[in-house]
Amino acid sequence: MGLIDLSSLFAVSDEQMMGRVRAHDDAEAFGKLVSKWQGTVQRLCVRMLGDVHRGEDLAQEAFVRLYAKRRQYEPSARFSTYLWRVALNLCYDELRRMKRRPETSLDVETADGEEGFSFLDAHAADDLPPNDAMESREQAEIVRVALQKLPEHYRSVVVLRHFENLKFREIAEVLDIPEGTVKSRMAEGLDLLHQILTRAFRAETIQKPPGPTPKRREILVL
Amino acid sequence: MNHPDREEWMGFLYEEVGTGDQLRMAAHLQSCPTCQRQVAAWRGSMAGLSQWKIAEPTRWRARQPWLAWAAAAAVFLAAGITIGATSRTSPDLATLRAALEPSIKASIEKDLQKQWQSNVEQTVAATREKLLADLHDRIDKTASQAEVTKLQMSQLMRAMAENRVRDHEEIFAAFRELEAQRLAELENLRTDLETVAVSTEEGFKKAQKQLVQLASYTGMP
Repeated sequence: MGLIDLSSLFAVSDEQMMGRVRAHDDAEAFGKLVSKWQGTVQRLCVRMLGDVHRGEDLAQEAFVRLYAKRRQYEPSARFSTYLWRVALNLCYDELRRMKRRPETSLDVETADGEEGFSFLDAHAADDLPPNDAMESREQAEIVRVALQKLPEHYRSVVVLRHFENLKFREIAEVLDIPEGTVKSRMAEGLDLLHQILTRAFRAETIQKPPGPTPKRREILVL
Repeated sequence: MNHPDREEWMGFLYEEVGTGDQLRMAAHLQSCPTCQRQVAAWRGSMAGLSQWKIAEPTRWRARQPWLAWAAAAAVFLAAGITIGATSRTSPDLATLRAALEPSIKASIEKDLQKQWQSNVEQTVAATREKLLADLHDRIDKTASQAEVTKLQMSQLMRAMAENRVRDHEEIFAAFRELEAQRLAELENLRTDLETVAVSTEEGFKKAQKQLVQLASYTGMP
């Protein structure tokens, strides 16, 4: 047995830590869980809402909710599944609120895309030359908007599988639906996304002559 | 040709099938234009999705402050204390405050409502007590006033009784005076009568005498 195996033997699992939070209001255990999962939950919320700031706010709220509902956590359940559910439910609530206030909805595609850049990661394109960086941002913006156009039940599956790398089986557990349904939703989501992206990139290409860059062509040839 | 279904393709694309299936499906893909088109479309979507990279999300606060975060969350969520209390703690709690704002608001609203309700209840209770106290006071006052009144009444009665006695005495005195006067008058009258009687007798005698004299003078038989 190697050192890694030994250390993993003594490592405290998420479930054990959440168990401590549940039973003893253990602040240290909760802090560790937050520290470990905050990035993941933030990414999920940002992708689901298409808005960095709202996503980050919602992620914090997810942990507040998690703490508030600590007594409802079943120690036999997987911690990550519980956390995904809490975060996703908050996302659905927030999306419903956004739909009720369409003026603040981010589903609307901006005409010039300028506003959209603020939602994107400036660092994601930092290592590229300026033109490519700009293009990368534009493409990311198109994807962001396209994803927001997907119905929520497709979006959650796509986000969890493609971005968060959950197995189809795990997604089925989180959403409490059969694995086959998750896979068919994934296929339908990708189909729909293909149509939306093809239209969006074509429009983008027509608006910006002369000719697409090799990067963009690569996407257009789907 | 027996095409794999789309659920199977999803497993294939995200590498969730066993090696045997992976090889079988890859071989099928090589030879099936229909599936090639479909899988290419899906791969296109997947490539598109991968274009959207987001920054390493904001780390709220590393390590230690999370303890404060969690502890503060515990305090907030369990007890729902006010924001003011957190402002005295770590500056890291600014982020926390923002995060906790909705629950804090809800908590404060609940607290305020509770406080308001308890205030109302206290006010009602205080008012009731005050009213009761007032009522008791009034009753006492009324009672003492009644005492006073009773006392005054009895004094009055006594006074009246005294007055009555005095009046009676005065009346008796008056009566007595009147009696004395009457007696005196009676005495006077008697004296006067006796005088009159004497005078009358003397006058009668005198008149008789005069008549005798007169008769003798006239020669009457």
